[in-house]
Amino acid sequence: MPRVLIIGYGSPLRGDDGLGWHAAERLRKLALPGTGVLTVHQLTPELAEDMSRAELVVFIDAREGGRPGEWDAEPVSPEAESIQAFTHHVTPGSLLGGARLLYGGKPEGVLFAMTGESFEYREGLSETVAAALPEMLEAINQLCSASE
Amino acid sequence: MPQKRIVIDPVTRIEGHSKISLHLDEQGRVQEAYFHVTQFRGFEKFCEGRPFYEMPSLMARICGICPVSHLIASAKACDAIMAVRIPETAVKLRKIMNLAQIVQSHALSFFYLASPDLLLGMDADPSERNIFGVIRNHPELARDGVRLRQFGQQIIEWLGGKRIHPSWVVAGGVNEQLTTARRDQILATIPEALGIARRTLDWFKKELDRFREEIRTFANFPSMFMSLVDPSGNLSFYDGKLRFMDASGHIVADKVEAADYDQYLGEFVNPWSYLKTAYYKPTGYPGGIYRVGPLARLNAVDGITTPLAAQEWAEFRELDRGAVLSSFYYHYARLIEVIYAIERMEALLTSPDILSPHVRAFARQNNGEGIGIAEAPRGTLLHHYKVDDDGVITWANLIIATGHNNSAMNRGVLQVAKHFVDGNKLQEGMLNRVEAVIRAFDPCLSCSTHAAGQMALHIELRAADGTLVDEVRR
Repeated sequence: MPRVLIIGYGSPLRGDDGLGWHAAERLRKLALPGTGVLTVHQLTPELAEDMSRAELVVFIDAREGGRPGEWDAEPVSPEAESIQAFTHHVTPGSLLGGARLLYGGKPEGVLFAMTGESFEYREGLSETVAAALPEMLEAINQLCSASE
Repeated sequence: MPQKRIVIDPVTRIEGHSKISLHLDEQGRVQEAYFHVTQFRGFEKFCEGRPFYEMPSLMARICGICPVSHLIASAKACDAIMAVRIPETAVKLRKIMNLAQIVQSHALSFFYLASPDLLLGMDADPSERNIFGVIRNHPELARDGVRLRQFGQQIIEWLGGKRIHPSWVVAGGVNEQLTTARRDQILATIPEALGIARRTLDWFKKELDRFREEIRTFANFPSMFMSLVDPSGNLSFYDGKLRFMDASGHIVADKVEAADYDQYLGEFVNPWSYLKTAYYKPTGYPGGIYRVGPLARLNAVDGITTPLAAQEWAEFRELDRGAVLSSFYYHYARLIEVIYAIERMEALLTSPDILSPHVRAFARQNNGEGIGIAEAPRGTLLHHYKVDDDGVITWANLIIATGHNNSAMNRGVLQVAKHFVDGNKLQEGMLNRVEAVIRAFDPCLSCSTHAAGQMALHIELRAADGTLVDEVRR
């Protein structure tokens, strides 16, 4: 089982919402040692088991608000007390909480999020987001390498 | 003085968006109750103009929970348009994928959506009555739920390439044969899944005594039931003909061909919901109320062909003299169906021709229309298409499980609200029971609001004496 699990999520049919997919697929091609890659439309509880076996989980998602192409990385804390419905749509924090409570895993979590420009029906990323992506990928690459 | 109203918005732990409104009299007693589906989609309309062979992939997008059911019903409708009898191995492979979906969808409904009520109690603090409360208090059961859902989803992914919206089921069959390695991989996961399903059902049966009041009042009334049954009258999720049974357990219509569905099924549009209401045509609306889904299937069939599920079914049918009427027992029926689905998958996977390379028939359109029926997790699913001479869709009609159950759900909400809700002294547990009766049906609103048309909105403001004070229509 990989030490680092990268999860890119979003809809690749909705323009920049597919950022997580595009980013994760590019990282998959790098075949980073000790790193597994998943692409999903949305986070689901079943991911908690995979996550519990990793030391670090890297979430990659698009977001609204802010300047398109702007990105940051925030640590994710496990949420164990959330009252949200833990159904087929969950947050990174609630998944980390699930990984801990259900499977005893204690992975660290980091969410890389980039502001999208267009979420219209299309398969590619906007020029702005595509141009900003390499810098974010490099940062993820460095994070994964540092955790070896 | 205007009539008082309690609104539960949104209804939680179901698939989709809806609200419930309860109308009270001056004494605070519930007089009326409505389950409003507030989301709106449009699949029947925007598939017009597309080639018929695209329909399975297009229709699967209706739902992220039960896309396989739409794939199956749509592909069967396309088989009928092509006028082909697809290879037997393709039928079996489609069945396996459909059963895998039954397992994952039922697991989602039981473990993720319903179990907080069942494990922690209807009156538990809502901050605790959620899946995290389940995880904290019953981690083994929570792990079982996640594992069982993984099992179903993994099989769908192994067969179709992905868990959601797989494209493996196509008009004429499936697009790739099953390999030995894949078959063995699936078979290896079956014992664990079956163990989970059996111990969950054993646990649930022991818990039933705690829910006597809910069993008595959760949409517990006489109605008809509809389901597909195989030629011998046994449980079937893929082929067979429609059967209607009344509340006393008598068959009122049987061996109904897909092509004749419109003689038996009508649809009514209520101005307060985007969800159409299906009814039994010979009786008319609103009297022709019937239920579909796990409870209806286990009521309508004469038997089950797999040994463990058959044993459980026999015990289940002892609950009532005629049909089992309480909708609380949907949960019970769901767990029996999970056992059936796992057993049946094993039987299909070990059949001699399951690895045959002959898995698809090819043809152009040979009929002007086609109808496909299958049993989805939530009940009978029907796709009906018409095409022009070029095989382009000119008209489509979908009747979805949640639409069949709409009348029963509304009546169930009223029954529960009248029994539990006191408008003068509201308590959270009362309102949770109103939601919980809906959860028992496991409605999928994404599926059921696929239709397009005029946006129906009708708001009435009524005084307690029933006088219409104001009205808005759009």
